[in-house]
Amino acid sequence: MISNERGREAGMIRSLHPGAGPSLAVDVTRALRDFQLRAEFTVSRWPLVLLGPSGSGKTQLLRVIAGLECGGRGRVALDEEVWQGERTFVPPHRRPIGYCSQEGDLFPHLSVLENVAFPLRFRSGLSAQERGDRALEWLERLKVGHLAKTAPSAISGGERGRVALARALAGAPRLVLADEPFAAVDQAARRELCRQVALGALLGLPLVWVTHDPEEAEILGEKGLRLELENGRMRAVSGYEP
Amino acid sequence: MRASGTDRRAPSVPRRSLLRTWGEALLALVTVTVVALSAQARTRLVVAAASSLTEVVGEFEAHYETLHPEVDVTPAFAGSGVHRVQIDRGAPIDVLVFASRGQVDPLVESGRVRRGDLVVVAENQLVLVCRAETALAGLEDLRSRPGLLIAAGDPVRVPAGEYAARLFEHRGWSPALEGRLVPAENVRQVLRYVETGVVAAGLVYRTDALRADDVVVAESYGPDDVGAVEVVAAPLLRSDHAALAADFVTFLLRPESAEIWTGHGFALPARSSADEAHR
Amino acid sequence: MTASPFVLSFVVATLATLLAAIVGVPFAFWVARERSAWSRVLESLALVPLVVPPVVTGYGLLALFSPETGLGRFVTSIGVPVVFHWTGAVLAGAVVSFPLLVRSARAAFETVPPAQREMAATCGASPFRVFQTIDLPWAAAGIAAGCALAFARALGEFGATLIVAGNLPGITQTLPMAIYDAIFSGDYDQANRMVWVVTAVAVVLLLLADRWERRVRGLRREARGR
Repeated sequence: MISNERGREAGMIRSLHPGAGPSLAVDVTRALRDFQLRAEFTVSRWPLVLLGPSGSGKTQLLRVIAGLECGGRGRVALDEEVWQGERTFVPPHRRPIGYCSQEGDLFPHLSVLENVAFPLRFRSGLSAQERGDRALEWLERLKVGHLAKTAPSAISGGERGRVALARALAGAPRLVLADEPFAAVDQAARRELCRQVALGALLGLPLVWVTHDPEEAEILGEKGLRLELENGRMRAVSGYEP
Repeated sequence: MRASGTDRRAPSVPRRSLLRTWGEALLALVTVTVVALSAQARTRLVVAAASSLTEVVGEFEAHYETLHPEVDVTPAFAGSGVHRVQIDRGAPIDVLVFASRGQVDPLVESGRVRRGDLVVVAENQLVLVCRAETALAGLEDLRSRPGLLIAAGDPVRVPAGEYAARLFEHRGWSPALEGRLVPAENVRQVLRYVETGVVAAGLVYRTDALRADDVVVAESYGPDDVGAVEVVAAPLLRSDHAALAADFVTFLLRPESAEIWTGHGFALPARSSADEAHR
Repeated sequence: MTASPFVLSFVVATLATLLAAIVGVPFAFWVARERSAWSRVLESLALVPLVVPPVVTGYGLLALFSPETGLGRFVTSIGVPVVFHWTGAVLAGAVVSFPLLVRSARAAFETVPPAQREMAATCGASPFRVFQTIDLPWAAAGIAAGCALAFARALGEFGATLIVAGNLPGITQTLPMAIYDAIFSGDYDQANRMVWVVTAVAVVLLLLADRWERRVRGLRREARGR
């Protein structure tokens, strides 16, 4: 269903896709500066690609799922676990997620390795040594193991995206939220990175991937689900059909 | 959604600089270790003394401690006004030695000092000082030379200032009205103003004038002009060491103490010397 | 115990800075995060010692901790008598330097980009752990600058200390009081020596503070340039 009128509610999409992974249910209404964000869906087939032009509300939706936006009403649940409901709001640090923002937002006072090991400080009972080993494994899976001792300020945009992804994945999250991790890289390189990353680390993970590039959506959503957003409203879905 | 830019560098805090910052901070802060406080074995007797009495009280402290090694005489030096506030607020002061009665009266009224306990331990004299090259003949001379400034203690807080105010009143002259009075926080400040030439003359105690190198006494004032300039002492009623406090005040009146007073330029009070003569 | 004005001053200023930091750093963090009317009022109150004469601060502390008040008796019973005691000098120094520390630390905490804190939260860090692992390292330079300023201020503290702790040579006579006594008893050589020490220490500290402040400003520039 396609509708371009601002402020009107978009069509609703629910449970189109039987799948094996965990099930994410989102039902959110949220006033943004220019329009209203309205999203209602339940997915259990992964990865989920959120496609839409800049300013369509993708990041906002992701932030709602992560618990970084606490205003507005709605419901967010992963399987039976309600993260946001009428009287519940689980703060972000209690949601088993991995989040990767556009800028990467690596911690500049920590080395690359310490950045990736960071979630393990809170989400694992591992010793410092074990956390370092685990973080290094992730860096190597994303082909940036050689940067372990480097400062985040000294690495390139593409590398920063990989490190940020490694950090999002390291804490063994039950849901990974990635907001255009390679936004800093030019288009051709970005698509190549996505291909590598998708194959190397993301396959089969419960992942929400945000992008404004349809081709990137194709690459990642090949096996999963695509959800398009425009002006805060979901516009179309494609991907797996039962 | 954030605007996309070409350069999305994460903010960079060089890691080492942060560590160094902490290191420097620690170095700067923990320069000294905490001094271990040894238990106070001796009885502490706190003597609140006017700043103008610093030297003479220091000498009494030493003498008293030789006589009573178990007592630790601890002088506290400040303007009498400060001491009055501290005593009013219950600071642990045992004895007061002030340069005038003026600051003691409110303490008598508020029940901190018994009037009968107040004794005159020494007498001083108000004098006009100037630098030798100023060659002043006295207050009248100063008065007739417009443009020359005079410094005196602030009469509200500084006992020497009270006497100065009395002198001005007695002579029927108000240098303040002529804009020629420079008020000071204490007599030492008056001396400093005179020594440095900020003012032409100052009103101080004889004892202070004797100690200063660069000033001469131009004129002295007797009881007729300003009343008796008395150094008074009293034990405080709420002292934890009342007997000791009373003993210290008595000690200031002893014959052997007379030498200390006169040695610093004080005169002995007429009454108390008479008292001493009876013993 | 008798302590030379030098030793006493440095010990007192160090402890005053520590005390001000222990209270001031969390307070500055709270003020930087919380933007309610309440936090503004409390912050303004905390800055009062900056604008009122130290003598007034000293009188307030004296009235509060007077041995004749309940609070005064309590602190005396736990061995921290405050009035006419070196702990009074520490307290007076901490109170007058508190505003300087809070201002620096608050400005530093405000430079931490929200995205950094959010990212740490999504990594599983509780608000306290975010404070510990993100805010503190980011604000370290600013806090250090605040501490340097606070130390310099505490070292030079005179008015409030004179009233609360008294000018008891060897017990509460800090450098500024010893300088005051030395000047007005005509011992200018001794006064000059002490003035040199205080001035030298203050200049070094202010240079350090400036250097650390610059580091904070550098961070802020970079954070804004994102």
